Amino acid sequence: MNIRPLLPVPLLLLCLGCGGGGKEKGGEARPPLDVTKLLAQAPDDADPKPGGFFVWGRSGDATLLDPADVTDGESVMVVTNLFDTLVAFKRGSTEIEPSLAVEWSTSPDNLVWTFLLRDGARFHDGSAVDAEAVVFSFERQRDPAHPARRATSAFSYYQNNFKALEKVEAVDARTVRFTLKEPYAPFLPALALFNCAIVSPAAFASEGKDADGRYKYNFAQKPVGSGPFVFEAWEKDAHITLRANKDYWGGAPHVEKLIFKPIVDAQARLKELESGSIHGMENPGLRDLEIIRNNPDVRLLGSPGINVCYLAMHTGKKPFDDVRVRQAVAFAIDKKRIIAAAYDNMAEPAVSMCPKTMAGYDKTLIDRARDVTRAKRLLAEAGHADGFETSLWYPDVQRAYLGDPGTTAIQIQQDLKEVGIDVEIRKIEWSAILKATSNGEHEMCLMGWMADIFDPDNFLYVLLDRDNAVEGTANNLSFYKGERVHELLVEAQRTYDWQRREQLYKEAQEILFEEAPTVPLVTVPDFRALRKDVRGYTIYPAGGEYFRHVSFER
Amino acid sequence: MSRRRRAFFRNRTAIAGLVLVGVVVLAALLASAAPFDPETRTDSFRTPPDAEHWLGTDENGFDVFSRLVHGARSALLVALAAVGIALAVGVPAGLVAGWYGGWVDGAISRAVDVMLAFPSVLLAVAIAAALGGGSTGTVILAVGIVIAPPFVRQVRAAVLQVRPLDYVAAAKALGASDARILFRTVLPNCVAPILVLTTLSTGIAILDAAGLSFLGLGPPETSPDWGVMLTKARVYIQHDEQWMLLPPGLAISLTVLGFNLVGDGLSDAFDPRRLSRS
Repeated sequence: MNIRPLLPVPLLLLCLGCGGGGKEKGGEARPPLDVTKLLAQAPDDADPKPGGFFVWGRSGDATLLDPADVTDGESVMVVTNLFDTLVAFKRGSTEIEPSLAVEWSTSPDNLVWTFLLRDGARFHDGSAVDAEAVVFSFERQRDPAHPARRATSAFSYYQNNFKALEKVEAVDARTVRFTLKEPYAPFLPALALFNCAIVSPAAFASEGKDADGRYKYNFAQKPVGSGPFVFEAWEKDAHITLRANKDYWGGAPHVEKLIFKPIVDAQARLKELESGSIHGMENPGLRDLEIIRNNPDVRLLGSPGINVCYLAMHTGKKPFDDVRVRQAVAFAIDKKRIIAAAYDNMAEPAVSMCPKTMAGYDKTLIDRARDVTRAKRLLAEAGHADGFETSLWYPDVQRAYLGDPGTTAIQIQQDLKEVGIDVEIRKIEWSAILKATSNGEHEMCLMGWMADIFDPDNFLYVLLDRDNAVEGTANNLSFYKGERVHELLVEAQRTYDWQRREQLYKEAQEILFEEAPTVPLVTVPDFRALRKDVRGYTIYPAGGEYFRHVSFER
Repeated sequence: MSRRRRAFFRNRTAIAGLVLVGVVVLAALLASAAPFDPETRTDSFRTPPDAEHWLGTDENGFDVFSRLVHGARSALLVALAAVGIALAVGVPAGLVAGWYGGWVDGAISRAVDVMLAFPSVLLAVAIAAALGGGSTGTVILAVGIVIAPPFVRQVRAAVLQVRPLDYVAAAKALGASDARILFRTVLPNCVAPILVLTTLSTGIAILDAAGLSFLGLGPPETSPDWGVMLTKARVYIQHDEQWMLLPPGLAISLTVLGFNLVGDGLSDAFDPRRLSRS
């Protein structure tokens, strides 16, 4: 029995730039950009030319390459090309298809899942991808004493998504059995996540163990998987180079080498694309989209993003422990102005932490209009009639959901200044801010989330459930610990009936809107720019990059 | 002295430099009278220059003109503080090196050589990054350190010139201490080159400080700082919003030009060969 817990992707017809922003003083009217017209995702890779080096320009370097331990998009897009998962996303879709597992079945109570592995898949080191490797890949994330675990490993994706998993067993060389403690509706799509990548146990064991009984092999710097590309070199902040896996079970990639090149500045990245020194890039500057569209050498691709950019207030710290203060902040923020100033009107205001582009979004929510008087009144009721001082941390790199971090932060600072809150803004280096905020060191922070699994659980449970508010591994950066929200989100995980789940998520979103531990700011379409001669590239809505089908024009 | 002054004021380019510097100093002094607060947004943003916003507004809604004049204040303060550091470090080091010679001179001169081996902006970036960046204090310190070496060299050379002269020997014969000779006898006779170098270094300091801010190692993004303004406006270089880009760019160029012209004028005025000709 194959349970499909979700409805098909509700592709929203986003028509941006035609909102009210155009007529306001300031933001001059720009022609509306219809993202759906950019959905040039039909595979154009018939008769691919083999060979060539494909260079991908991106906005930052990876932090780690251990698939179980990465959390940021820059690391994920490398990992998704090195490793395979049991099930995978269909090309350019959020639907699930077989990958290392060719077929699977579940018990009637949905607690036992049995997967049959593909015959003949091999790791890059030559060892076979067998049931033991699958067990190893999951066990090391579950068992704190596992030798293939570093002292610094957080494995936060496993923490977030696999609490329901009781055990993984190898039935025979090609059969793996997963047993759940309780039903978990997003289980199958969760198995397509990069942290479920099957890693090579032989690679881990290749250098022996240290005094603490842990493997010495530095997997996070020298990853070994079974994916379409093989790790070759990583020079920090310069490049990560992968080479084609000629023996890939799904067919070798067309390009010979795949190079990830971090170019932090969006304009510099575009210049390199225009000059041809890179062949494709993520996150073009939203202000440069017209330039890209007018350049005959490059092509703009877009897809309605499944992401949210938000302002998190640490609810465990004063004065944000008071719901009235949080509501005051929510009333003070002018999303329209942020969208015009920082996103060039290329984003949609977010109302819930579950984006509009995700199934389960509560369509009945009506956003707060900006109301300075009301915000001040709420602050006065909370005993802050004269305002207060606080700080806002924001990342130094551009993200898909954060087109211009500095301007967004400054607009929030100015919004709050107008209700009497004095905000010191602080720009923090990307890996440092991820660490500091998950440790709960911030008061307010600007952050975002892109879908990993096409399920509302991936936003609401990950970003707002108290289970994910543990300092050190927290993704719930507001450290909101609402009891009722927790009950609803956990019940939704255990429910397989989509109608019922939708109800539960609706109630949770209503409570979260009132409680306002975060202020959802915007959802931003995903944009990529490619050289005209690149074939076979597809945007994957659930994140990650997959370059197996990419080739150059003949 | 008056002959030198006349020589300076007869120099038209020096006068032009003086006017440029004067405008910047005036702007810095009157910054508080700017029409808008440089760190509070206005209702409009990214609008071209008009009667209300003389140089338009930026993407944050800040008034570009008000930021520009406040930027003049911060640029001058940073430059003066940096030059102050360079003087405080460079002059005594140069005096000591020139006066005592030997291994003291060797150590100081080699240290200076090492620092001069790096391009100054690169060294400033490295120092600012090592100090953590992100504040005006860091910028002052980094720039102050990188502009100090020429002071050491200049002062050392001047001391070497003065040391064998009779009045120094006279002071020594009278039993004056080293410190007294250095500061009362030698230093006053090295003032001219120091003055020229100070003026030229102020221009360099403004440029280096703007460079650091441009690279994000300076004050936070809300600060009215020319380098910050430039880095924020840079994304519009291919677009129509040139009013955000040109003012800070021109301000930096013209101010640096002004200090350089004044410095050259002073250098010419103090040049003994030129004096004998006039």
